[in-house]
Amino acid sequence: MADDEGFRDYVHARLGWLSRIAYLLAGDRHAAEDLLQNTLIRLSPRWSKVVRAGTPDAYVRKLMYHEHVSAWRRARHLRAEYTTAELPDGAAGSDMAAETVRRLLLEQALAKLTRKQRAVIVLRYFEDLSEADAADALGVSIGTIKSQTSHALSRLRELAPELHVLVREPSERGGTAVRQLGGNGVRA
Amino acid sequence: MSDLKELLLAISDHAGVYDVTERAYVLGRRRRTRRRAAYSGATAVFAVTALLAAVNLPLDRPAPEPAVTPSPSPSAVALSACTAAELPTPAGVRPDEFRMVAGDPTGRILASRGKDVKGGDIVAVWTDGVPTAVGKVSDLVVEVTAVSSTGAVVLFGQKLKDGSRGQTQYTALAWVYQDGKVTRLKGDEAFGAAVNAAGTVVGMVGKNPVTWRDATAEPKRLPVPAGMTAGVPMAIADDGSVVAPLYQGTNSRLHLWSPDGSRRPLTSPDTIDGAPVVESMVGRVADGWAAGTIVTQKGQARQWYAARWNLGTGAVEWFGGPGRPGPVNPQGWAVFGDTAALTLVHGDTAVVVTGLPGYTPGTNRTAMDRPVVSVISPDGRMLAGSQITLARQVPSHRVLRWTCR
Repeated sequence: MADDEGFRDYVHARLGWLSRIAYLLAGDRHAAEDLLQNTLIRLSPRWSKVVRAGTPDAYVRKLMYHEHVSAWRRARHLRAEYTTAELPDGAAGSDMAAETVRRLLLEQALAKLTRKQRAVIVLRYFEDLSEADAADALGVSIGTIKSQTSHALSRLRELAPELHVLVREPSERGGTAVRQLGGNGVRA
Repeated sequence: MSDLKELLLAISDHAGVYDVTERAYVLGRRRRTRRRAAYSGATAVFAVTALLAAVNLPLDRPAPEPAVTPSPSPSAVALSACTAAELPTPAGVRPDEFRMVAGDPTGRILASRGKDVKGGDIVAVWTDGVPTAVGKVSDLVVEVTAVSSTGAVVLFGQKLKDGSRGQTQYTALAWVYQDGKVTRLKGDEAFGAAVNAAGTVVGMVGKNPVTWRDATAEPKRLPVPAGMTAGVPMAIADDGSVVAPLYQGTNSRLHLWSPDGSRRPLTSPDTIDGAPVVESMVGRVADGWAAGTIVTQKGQARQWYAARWNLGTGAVEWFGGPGRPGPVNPQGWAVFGDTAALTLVHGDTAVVVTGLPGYTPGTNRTAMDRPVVSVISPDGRMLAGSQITLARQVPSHRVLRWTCR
């Protein structure tokens, strides 16, 4: 069926992006895989309607963030179970040691945020969404996005003071093209 | 490389790709069938149109490209192009599962974590571009962090702790691989950041900076003055001198611990172009120079410079480039990267570093398939690093070596 093909093509084309978001939200590979699978399970039966209505990206995002928050509600009394079988693989920046440790600090700090705080961080900082788009994805008000962002950032600062310099309030869509011209200097 | 977006991107690089499409599709259809049966076709329409406000997907939005302005003045080093080739895959090893590349100060010895054809974790070593060793390592190993000119390879790993509800926390582990033998470095929460020709490793045990005289030695703490905290990255010279940052308040400065135990700061400028210097980071120490990065911040604007400190005279030099510096070597070479390209810079020379021939990476900011340079040889003529290539969104993790002429 054309719809089936369309669903598969869409998901294949978006798999890299969807996997990244799922991992950032869930924090480990098994949970990320579950999150993505549950999202796609919800998407699949609605696919033809979704695709007819326009670009499905916003809809998928909405499904995934809702799934992320509600999965936690369902499982909040259960102890999270993780396995050592799957561990992160490296493919990051070039300053390895620094990158690695900072990344780990942030991963550990993110793990201590609430689901919603974590989602706000991913929406605003990773996906670069505006407050309005983030509010739409989570189905909350812009005011909630503002307060959740602020709480999440202060919690990150508290949890990982070593990351002090990297956490700053986002300017609402600054987006100015900064010319990164190299100044040269020598000092004796 | 230290804002939140970059770090989230680095975390998401570890996501892998979960191809759950078929499973989801089948389960989704089952659900659809069940629901249709139950509600006789009255499937909730779910106000799809209202939800589908056209949102431009940020991943497809090209980021502003900083201007590349290589100086037109002549350079003493005549290089015009850096071309990449895949490092040859050792026998019995998968070509597409390598993670990161680290190199020794000469650039001749390279190492990367990979997988063998049976799926076991290995570390592969190349000498002058030829595979020279493959060793089995623990499946806890994440990546190689450092290589010595004598072939010692420092490995970093993670083990999941028993987390409390909803938390994922790791314990850091460090090993040294040499001559086919893997030795775990002693200490809880151990991280090996750099290694010298004598096999002495510098790193962290918990929040304390330490050295391990060799792979079997007990960690020895480096003295840190009260009120300051040590951090990474760190570097160690062949004479045992260590350079590492000490944080005080929100700013970091580099310090040099000499083999006699004394410590002194390496002075960075207070400001560059009127912007206060907030961070100084080290990459390597060799030939009397420490090389690394200086970060300035004025308001929200951060600028990154490649820098090197002369350990004898105390002089410091810095230079900018297109984007942010990645690796910087003590001889004054640096690779800068922005969303558009990688550029090798030395003095007035600026050479574009292209990725795997025949492959075009995505241009968006979060593209995972751009080349990464992590090693620069002392003469700038050899670079090493890695690149993810995507075929139908399925990534292959490859290791590269560039020749610059």
